Amino acid sequence: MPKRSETPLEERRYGHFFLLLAGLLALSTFWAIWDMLRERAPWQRYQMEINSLEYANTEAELTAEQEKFERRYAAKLETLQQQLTEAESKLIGEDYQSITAEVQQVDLKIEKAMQVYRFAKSEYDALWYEYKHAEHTGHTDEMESLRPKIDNLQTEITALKQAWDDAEAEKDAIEEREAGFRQEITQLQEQIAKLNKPMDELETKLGNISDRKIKIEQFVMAGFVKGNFQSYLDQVDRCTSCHVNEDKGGFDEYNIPFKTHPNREVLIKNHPINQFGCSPCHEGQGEAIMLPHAHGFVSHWPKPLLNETMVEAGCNKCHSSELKVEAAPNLTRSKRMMYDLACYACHEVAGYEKMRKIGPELNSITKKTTNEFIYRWVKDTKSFRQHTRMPNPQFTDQEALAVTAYLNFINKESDYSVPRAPYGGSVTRGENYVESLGCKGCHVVTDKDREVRVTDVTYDMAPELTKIGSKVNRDWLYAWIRNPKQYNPNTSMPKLRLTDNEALDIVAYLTTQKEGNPPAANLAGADLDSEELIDEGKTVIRNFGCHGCHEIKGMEKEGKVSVALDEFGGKTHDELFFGDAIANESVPDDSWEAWTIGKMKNSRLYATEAVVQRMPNFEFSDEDALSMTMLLRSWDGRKIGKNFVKKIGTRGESLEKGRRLVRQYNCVGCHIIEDEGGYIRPTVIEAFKAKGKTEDAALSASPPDLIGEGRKVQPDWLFDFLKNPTTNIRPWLDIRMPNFDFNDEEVNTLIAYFQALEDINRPFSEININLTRAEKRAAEKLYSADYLSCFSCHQVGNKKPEGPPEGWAPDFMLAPDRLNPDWVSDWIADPQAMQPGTKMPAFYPDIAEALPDILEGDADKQVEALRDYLMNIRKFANNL
Amino acid sequence: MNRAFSLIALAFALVACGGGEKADTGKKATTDTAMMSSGSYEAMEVMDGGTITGVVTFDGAVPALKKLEITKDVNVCGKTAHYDESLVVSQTNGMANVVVKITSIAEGKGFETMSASSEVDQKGCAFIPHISLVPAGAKLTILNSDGVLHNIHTYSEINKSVNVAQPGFKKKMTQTFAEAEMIRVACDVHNWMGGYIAVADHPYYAVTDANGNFEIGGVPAGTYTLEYWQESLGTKTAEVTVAAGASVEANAMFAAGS
Repeated sequence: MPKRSETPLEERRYGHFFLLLAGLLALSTFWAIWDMLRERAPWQRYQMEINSLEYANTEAELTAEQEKFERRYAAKLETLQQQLTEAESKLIGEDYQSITAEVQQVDLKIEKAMQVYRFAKSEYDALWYEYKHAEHTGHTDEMESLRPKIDNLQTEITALKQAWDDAEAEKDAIEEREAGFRQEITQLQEQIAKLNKPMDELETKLGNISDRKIKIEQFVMAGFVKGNFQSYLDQVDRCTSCHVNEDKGGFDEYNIPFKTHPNREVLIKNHPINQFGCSPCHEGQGEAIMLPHAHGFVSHWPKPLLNETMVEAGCNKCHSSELKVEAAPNLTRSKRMMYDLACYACHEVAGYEKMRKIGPELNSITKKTTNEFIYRWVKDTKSFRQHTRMPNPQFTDQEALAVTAYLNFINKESDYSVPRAPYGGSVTRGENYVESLGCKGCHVVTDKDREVRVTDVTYDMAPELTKIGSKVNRDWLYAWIRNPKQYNPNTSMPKLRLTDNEALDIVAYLTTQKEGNPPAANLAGADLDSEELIDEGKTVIRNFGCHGCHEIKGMEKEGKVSVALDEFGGKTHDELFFGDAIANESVPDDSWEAWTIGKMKNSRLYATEAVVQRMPNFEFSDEDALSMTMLLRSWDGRKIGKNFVKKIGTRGESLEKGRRLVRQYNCVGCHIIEDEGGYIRPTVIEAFKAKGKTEDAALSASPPDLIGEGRKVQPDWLFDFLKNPTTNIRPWLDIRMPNFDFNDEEVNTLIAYFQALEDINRPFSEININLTRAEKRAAEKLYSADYLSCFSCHQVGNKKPEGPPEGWAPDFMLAPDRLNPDWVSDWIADPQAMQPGTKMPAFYPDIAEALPDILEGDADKQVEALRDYLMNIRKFANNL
Repeated sequence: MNRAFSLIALAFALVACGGGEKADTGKKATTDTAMMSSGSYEAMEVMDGGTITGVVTFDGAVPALKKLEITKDVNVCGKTAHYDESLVVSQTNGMANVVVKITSIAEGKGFETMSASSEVDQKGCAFIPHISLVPAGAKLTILNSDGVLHNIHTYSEINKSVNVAQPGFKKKMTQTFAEAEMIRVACDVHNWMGGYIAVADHPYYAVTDANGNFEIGGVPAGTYTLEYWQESLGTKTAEVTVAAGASVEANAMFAAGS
């Protein structure tokens, strides 16, 4: 064989090269297709898989249905079919046969009648036109000649129409006869279809599943987020290509990506996937259709998928103006923590700009407690009160001494003075008052209270009183509980309208509540009056920002001591200072989450010798740290398009203001509001159990649930009540609604809040309800013992019901001023619907029928009579 | 052109029958069907059914009945003494008012054979019987023999709670409960009144008599779990195997504070 180079060019053969290359090309094509389908398109696999699974499940259901059918209905079907055959064979009789012929004949008849009628009608129309034309052109003679023809034709048409209708009626009669013959058959066929229905439905479903197309699903969220160049950018999501059942019910038990979206009824209903997509809430890389790209766990994708503990951060992007976010319980809790713990006192937080100082003022603190206590407290608050809301300053001995010196110095200028409290007071009676008057709505007083009390947060909304005797002095306490605002005009602590004796007993009890082994704190050797020390104290307070929460003389002009938080969630880990934490393994990794969780659990974690950290220590538990981290994650500084941000509107604003106030005054400590709160209840139950009484009795003796309050009471009444609460609505309660000394704005906020909860807006106005004579007669009967026996439970002024007070119901005499008439009628008509679980039973509608002599037995009229009488009851009180 | 198509088709075929791990959907066809069939109870004719009998006893000294204080409508309610019925034990240690049931059964005898109490009376300001047994969806007649205002206030989780007044003149009314549940009943007018309504979704329920005896008949042969429920001592369960046409004994014992 000659060498290849010796062969002339035109004779050289390239076949084997081409074969090889063609082979490679074929292989790489196979590989490309394989890779695309197996690796790059998991969505195809998922869609196929869920389709085949659904198909298999449906088939299995069908088989089960068929088996059940065989077992239970096969015999029945056979009988039915036999009956059907028999019925059908009956139809072959002559009667039925003749019907077909009759139908044909009558159809012909109808056809003819219709035709004749229509011809006549056209003729008539033509004449009518000529007649009208003559009229318009003024040819009266022609009109006169046409008139009789028209009249004749009119009569003719009426007759012809009648003939047509008769023919139709004839046909209907025949068909009815036919249906009569067929009736049995139709019924049997219906029965058979009904038996087969479940199976038929499943078969249709199988057909639908087979018809599904495998394809990429895609949604565009136009203008979702502001980009770097001031314009709002679109965001694209293809997540549902794999997550096939997010918006389909019935897949809750399946694994991801086949699972139904949790709480779909609320979340997806309010945020349809085609408008809101997935990544606006969940983050991740919405356009990607491969893992892990889609979830954003790839380098340089700044917003990876939020995990289960962080996912509600997504809600806050659009719901940041709301303290309570429906269906986001963790976010709601974290926002409440932010509000209660006043993060805004040191940091700028959007929406919380002009806030009150949440801590007590310190300008008269030495009248309340000692310098020794102050020194000990600022060094370590948690050792005295583990659950205090105040973060731990963790001052060094020197800092603590300096701060004590400064506070001691400014206190000398205070003009607040406490008179000496009288001697005496009974510890037992005091304990009883603390238990029964409602102190435990906010305060933990005993270790048992701590055990049974469960609230929505882990810290106390008011100071724990288990060791109060070791902190405050007796004279101050006596003055304080009688009128807290005198000492601190900004306090949330209300006035319980205590008599001097009650106050003295409570003081006697509380001063016995002491710390077992108080740590030694002796300031005898220190010179608190040293100017140097006082100046140092002032600097410490200024640097640490104590004035963020406390009113402190000399700090009036100081601002917030720390950074704004609105972009913190968008920081990358290289912008965060870890100190030695990574080296000594105090944090698991160098991620943003790890840094933030570490900081929340120990705010001094990243301090080094060179870098001082001053944030006081909240010492959050793992769970609380995670909550706060989630909230911080949501503040990532991005601007969301206005179509996506929740617009809360006037109602939302009323709700928001009210919710803040409800937390500020801890109304939920006693009351259930928006299905939350009533935190005093377990302690009431404990106290009742200790006295051998039942839980039901304890619940009757607990503060009322405020469900529907905005619709229930008149705004005028609520205004007066909140300004000046009384105990005469439920005189059997020992617990007192305290006096918060609300200002007008606060009261109006609360009224607007309660009304907003009911989505109503009622003006302040006087209500006059007219009572007719007939209503009065009817109502007098209905209220009496022989009829509805209302006074069996309800008090009327001085007339009290039989039995123990916890079984009583509110005084009717208060109703005219207090209750809204429309609420009263709704309440009488269906109390359970207004307040589930109420002791007030439903009388209507059933009772009305049994009383036909009263207002014709009409339930609405009877309810109205009861209502109208109640709204006028003061006029008749003496006769009851 | 044709060849290109056939290549792609081949690739698809490869993929279709190729290996590749399957994603776990978390739920298999079989569980679905199992869930399907555990639907509602269906009555059928039971041939040669067995009977479960037994006695429920109290382990320990017979507790004394606590007398209740009558504080209201004394001339009607105070005619006879009232006792706390939350634990009633006979001299032979038999426990009354224990509800015994087969926990789960799909097919069996009709409800007409269950010894159900079709009515509960409010007489002398007490619910009589203390525990009423009623089929789910059936009417329970509620009588007021006292002629004073009573109310039926139920505390339930599965069924909707009701609180209906029954004034003295309304001698009779009815209520239905759709789902099987033990429902506590109270009267808010007379706070000492208490009782239960046992709503049954199949007829294999019984309430023990004053001596703690019960009997459940017409049981198809098989092995069942029996549940004994007592209002203050909770529940106990036992396995029981019923042979066709035979009677089997299934006793239970509750201890104080169990």
